Amino acid sequence: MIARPLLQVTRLGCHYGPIQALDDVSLTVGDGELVALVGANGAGKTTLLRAVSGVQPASAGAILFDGVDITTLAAERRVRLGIIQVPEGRQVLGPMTVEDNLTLGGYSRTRAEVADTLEQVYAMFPVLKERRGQAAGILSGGQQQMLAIARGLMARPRILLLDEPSMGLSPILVDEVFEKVAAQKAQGTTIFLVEQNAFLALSVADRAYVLEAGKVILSDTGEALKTNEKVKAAYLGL
Amino acid sequence: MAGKPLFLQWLLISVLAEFLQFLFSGVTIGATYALVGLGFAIIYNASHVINFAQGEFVMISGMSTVSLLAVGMPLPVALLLAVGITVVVGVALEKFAVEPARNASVVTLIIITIGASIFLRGAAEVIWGRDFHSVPAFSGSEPIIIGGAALLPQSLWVIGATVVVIIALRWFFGRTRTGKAMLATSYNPLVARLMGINTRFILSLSFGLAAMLGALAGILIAPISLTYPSVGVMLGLKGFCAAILGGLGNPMGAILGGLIVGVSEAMTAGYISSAYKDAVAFVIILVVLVMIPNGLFGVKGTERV
Ligand SMILES: Nc1ncnc2c1ncn2[C@@H]1O[C@H](COP(=O)(O)OP(=O)(O)OP(=O)(O)O)[C@@H](O)[C@H]1O
Ligand SMILES: [Mg+2]
Repeated sequence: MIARPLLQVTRLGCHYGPIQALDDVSLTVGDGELVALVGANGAGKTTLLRAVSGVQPASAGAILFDGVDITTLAAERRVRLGIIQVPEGRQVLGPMTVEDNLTLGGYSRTRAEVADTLEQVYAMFPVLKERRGQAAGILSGGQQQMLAIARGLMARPRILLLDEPSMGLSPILVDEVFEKVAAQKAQGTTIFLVEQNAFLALSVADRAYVLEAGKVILSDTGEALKTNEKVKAAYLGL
Repeated sequence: MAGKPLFLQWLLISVLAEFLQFLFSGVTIGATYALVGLGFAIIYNASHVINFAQGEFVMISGMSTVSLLAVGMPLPVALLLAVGITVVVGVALEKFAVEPARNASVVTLIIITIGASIFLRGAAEVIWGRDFHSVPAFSGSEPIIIGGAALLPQSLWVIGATVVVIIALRWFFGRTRTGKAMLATSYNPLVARLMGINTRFILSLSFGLAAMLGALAGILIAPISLTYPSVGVMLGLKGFCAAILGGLGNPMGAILGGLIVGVSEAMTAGYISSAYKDAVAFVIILVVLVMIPNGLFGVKGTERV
């Protein structure tokens, strides 16, 4: 049983010059679902998110959001629709304050919405409130990841695209990040999670896709994939 | 025997007066370099492009003022319109020359701006001829005597306007949503786009803003130095010098850089020979590029993402 599709990618192709990074990729993310995309280094996971966000052109196929074709829509228009990406490697704006990072996260929203969401986000991430006047660049890695997610939430996402939020974090911090992700899902936000940490991703996902060399090779529920022999061998190190 | 100390006193006063005189002219011209340098910094931040047409903005506003005065417009109206015309040219430059090549390398974009500057200078010669023109000072030309040195009222306009511009820019980048979006784009264009910032608009805006700063320099300095179609060449280079001295992309550095270039130039002209005046900027460019590539106030070199 798949919920009404919110994001629908059909036969998507992406190229970097002559290099084909995505080949005939089709997948859907239902409204309210948490869908994971796992795959090895260089499989094309980030490229897929870039294409969905509109910062990487599609060379074939189509992307539909809430039933509307957005394949050629400008990136900033997609943000206004609620397609929000938390990019790989956090990428906070280091020289700017924590609060500036957050308010800029709400760039696509009205002043009143930003003020409102900021209160909610500070309630969710008290440490960011404490350090709101400090430069984002001096936060610890874990705090920067929290800031990156919080910045995404400031845009009031309908779908949150998370690119390897666990990367470079200690197990305790990874748990903390995933708690926030689960809380966001509980509030009804649709989440598309990209992870190299397949075990973790499959444990929290309703459904998942496995990407290999630019192609989707498997898709099933998270639990089913965790027991899939091929996945166990290639991605879970079992 | 009272003659000797009196003579020494007179000597000291005239040496001081002379120094003050050079300082006044250095700070005045330095302020215009600072404005031009700020334009370089703002466009560099938005796109990593060094806009070598920056000096032409100075020229276009000066020459436009001359024409607008010639058709009988009052000075304040002519000045405002001249700045407006220059901003339109700056935005058009971005739209029709830079934007279409948006995906080309930075070097290509820089070459495009060099081509654009040659084109603008040529167009100016066609429209205005090669003659030198003067523009009346904003508020009289009776010098104010300070410590034996003469300060032109126009110098006060130049310095005062530059201070106002600096304060306005600090407010714009520090307090406004659009200003912060420009900063975000300069720190990380990808993240800026993912936050919903229209980075193409930011690029247009940076050209408009840089053109406005160049235009201000142009109308402020025109009453002191004459204006002519190739006036932007030297001013552009000195502004570039100010920008790299301050660390490319560091606006406050560009301002200090401008003052340093202006004052060193005036001191060289005064104490050594005005023949070496223009050489100062080139020596500074060489020294900075070879010995301190990040400028005096630059942090680390920023890579393009
Ligand atoms: N800017 C680029 N120019 C050329 N090739 C690129 C570029 N970015 C990615 N690629 C190539 O595209 C393929 C997919 O890369 P992508 O970054 O999408 O993989 P990924 O699954 O996100 O990997 P990782 O787990 O390392 O983040 C790789 O082969 C990569 O080398
Ligand atoms: Mg990746």
